[in-house]
Amino acid sequence: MWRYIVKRILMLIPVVIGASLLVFCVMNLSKGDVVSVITAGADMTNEQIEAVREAMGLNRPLLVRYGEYLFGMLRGDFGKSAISNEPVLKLFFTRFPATVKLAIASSIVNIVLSIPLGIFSARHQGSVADNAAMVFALMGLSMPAFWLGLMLMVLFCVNLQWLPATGGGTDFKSIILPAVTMGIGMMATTTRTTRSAMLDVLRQDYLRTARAKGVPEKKVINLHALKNAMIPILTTVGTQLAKAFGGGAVIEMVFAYPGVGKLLLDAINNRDTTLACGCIVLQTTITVVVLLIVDILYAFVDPRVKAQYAKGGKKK
Amino acid sequence: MGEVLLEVKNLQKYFSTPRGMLHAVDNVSFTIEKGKTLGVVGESGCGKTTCGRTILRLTEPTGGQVLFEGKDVSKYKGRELAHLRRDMQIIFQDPFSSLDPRMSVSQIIAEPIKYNKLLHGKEAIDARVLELMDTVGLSRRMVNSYPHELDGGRRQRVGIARALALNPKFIVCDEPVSALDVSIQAQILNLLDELQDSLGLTYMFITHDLAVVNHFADDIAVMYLGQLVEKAPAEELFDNPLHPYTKALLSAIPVPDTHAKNKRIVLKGEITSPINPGEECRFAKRCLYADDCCKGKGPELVEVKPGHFVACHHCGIANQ
Repeated sequence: MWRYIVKRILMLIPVVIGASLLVFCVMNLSKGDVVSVITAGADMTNEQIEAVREAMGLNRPLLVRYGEYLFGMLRGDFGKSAISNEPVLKLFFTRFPATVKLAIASSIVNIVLSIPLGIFSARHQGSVADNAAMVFALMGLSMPAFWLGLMLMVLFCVNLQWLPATGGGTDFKSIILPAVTMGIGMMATTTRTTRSAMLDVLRQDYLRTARAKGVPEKKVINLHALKNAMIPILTTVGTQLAKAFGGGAVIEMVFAYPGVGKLLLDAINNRDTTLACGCIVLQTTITVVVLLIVDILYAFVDPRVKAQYAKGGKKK
Repeated sequence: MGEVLLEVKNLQKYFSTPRGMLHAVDNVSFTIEKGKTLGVVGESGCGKTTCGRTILRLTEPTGGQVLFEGKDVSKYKGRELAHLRRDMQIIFQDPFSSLDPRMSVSQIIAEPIKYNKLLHGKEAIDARVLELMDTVGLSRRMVNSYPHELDGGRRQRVGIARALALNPKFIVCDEPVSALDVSIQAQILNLLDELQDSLGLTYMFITHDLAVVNHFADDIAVMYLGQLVEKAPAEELFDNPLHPYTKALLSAIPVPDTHAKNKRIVLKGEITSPINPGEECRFAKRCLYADDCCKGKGPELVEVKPGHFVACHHCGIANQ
């Protein structure tokens, strides 16, 4: 088990290097740089602007700059934002709790909506209610987050005036709309996964065995069926949670929510390479770690997976 | 004649299909005496398994009655139905798919005890689980194993132990050995035999293996397309089969003698569809003796000798 965890964490290294290199190159190859953003509108001559560029070290070759960045990163130094001159780590981690809050809240919306709906659909396969549930789930997937967010805003903030329009507040109410918008987007996939996983399990003979034992129907579904259907559901929910930890940039923009997604978008718009790179690397790391946790959870859900880990450990 | 434990009267189970009603079990009636074994034989898809499951109410009967110790259990609901599980149990055909892969052996065996509240307290339940494992010949060290770690024979022993956990009086054995290899089949059959003697169990033994049923059953019922065509004590049925289908079935048993004359009756003709079958005898299309009489109303099950029932208009002719 530990061998596996260490292996997975070591695999993070190439992923982080790859991600940072990609972002670093794209940011540098795209038109304009951070100097043109800073000096925009300022009354400066071309020579002066060039001097700023020289001073910031932006005229050196790309690979040299990337090497320097990577070396700093390996020591835990993610550099400073070129715009605000604050450390990237500090900027990221002041925003990160808000993103975690949103990710967890939206995952709760996701789980609460999709698992009961998926179970219901599977148990009434082919019925009108099943089809209706599937259409509802498909709608969740098809509606773009920015549109759904705006529509919810129109309904609950403008017309009904129940909830605040922005997610920046610290009270519970302000997180509801962003979480619901994000949760509905996730729900479509989870519902479908739950439904198909349950359909698979509901046909199994051991459910009949459980009924023959005299286990009440509710327990047959929740204990035997759901537990056996859990792996694909866990994978889907986990992947979505990991994605959400990276920040839902669009939703954060729509609700002016102060998370890392918005931080990243702003960094890209400002051509703030250090900040953008730092955000991506940190988000990638967090995503990989969350996925690893999900993988470890499998062992708790399925004794067969645990046995595999145990065997893998014994091999050498 | 001993005390009747189970009486099935005109049991029906129809399934609705896009093409009409599928008559899986149609007007099946029989009785089983206490401590005896009724073997149920017939080809695949003839409704043996459905019949067993319907008696246990694992599928709801369409019509008819199931009298267990004189009480009609076919209308039981809720708590009564839960109590029925204590008296009637089933051993399933496939030990590979009928055990929940997420549960350890002890959890599988303890579950019925827990939900039927037979015993209280972890210690009492654990002790009972070990006792049951001893009863079915499962080594105690497997108590925390998971089904995927066991071979077929051991899994089937787990299936038997969990059926015995509720101290049932009646067990439907739904082809309990057909998924196992031959050497293990014998072990499991002997185990079932011993359990019957020691616990006084009554079995309904569903199988398509005629050699097994001859060894095992007191009475044998032959099913064809959802109907009971013949029922007789085992010896009588093997010595003196009356229904043409039973004769064909028995002639298919391989004889371990190279000089024996091959007298196998090979059935020809089209199998009647079980979906919306007509009134006529369902075997008529494949029967060697069928005539116009068979196209009328189907034959009733009649007692031709004490304990020997047959449903055929021509059992006199077929007998010659």
